[in-house]
Amino acid sequence: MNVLIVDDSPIMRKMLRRDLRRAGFDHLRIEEADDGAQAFEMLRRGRFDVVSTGWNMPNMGGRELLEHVTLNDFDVVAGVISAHATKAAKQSAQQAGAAFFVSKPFTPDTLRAELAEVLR
Amino acid sequence: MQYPNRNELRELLEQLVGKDVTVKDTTDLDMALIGNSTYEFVDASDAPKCVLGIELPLAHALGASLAMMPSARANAAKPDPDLLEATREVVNVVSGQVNAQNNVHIRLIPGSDGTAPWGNRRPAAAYTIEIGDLPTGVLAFANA
Repeated sequence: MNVLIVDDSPIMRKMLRRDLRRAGFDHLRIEEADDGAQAFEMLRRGRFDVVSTGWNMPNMGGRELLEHVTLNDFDVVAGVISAHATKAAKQSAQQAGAAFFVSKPFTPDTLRAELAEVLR
Repeated sequence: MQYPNRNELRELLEQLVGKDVTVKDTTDLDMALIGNSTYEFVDASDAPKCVLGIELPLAHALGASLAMMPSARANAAKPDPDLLEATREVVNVVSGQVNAQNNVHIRLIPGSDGTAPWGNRRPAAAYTIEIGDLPTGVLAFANA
């Protein structure tokens, strides 16, 4: 399964890789993007099954990326992993097509619980 | 603005860094120790709402814990860019907690690098934080 991790923090991308592995998702092939614009280009060029995006990012944030995924009919499951898990943000993400919204800080257990269906 | 209390902050940091964290209320913030670790938050209309300042030893400790870097690096007297990059992510997560407690949605100024001026602000909430045997320091919030 091909997964694209989008977050402007290299530290957070590293942690997410680590905790996905610790959660038992060893079968993933993971690539990274550091903002929505880069992620969009990667989605246009490549084949991904799942996209996990941050919310507040420069050069296209999470909401805009989700909208582009929907508008362009990319065959991918997209969702959000963010520290800003307000009710408004979750609603906004859902309206934009997010299939999941995981709050930071996350642990391997929360990733396993929240993403089991998406990453199986 | 409402800010996390010491228990809320402790739970958040423990979950983030994966270590035992001790958080105590304090009223002292040593401005001489702040350097390169003060962050400004704005609301949806880019109006300043609050700042978060971290004494440098603690900023290094938070960064080293999150990024799992050798703890000896946290003792650096001068700002360590690699550690402070990780610290910024801690600050980002803490801001999520602040959002949860207020009716405004705040975010770090894009590109914020920790050099926002603290100025003459009085802390609205300040805590002494210990993470294992890493350097201790104060983390404080102030209104804009």
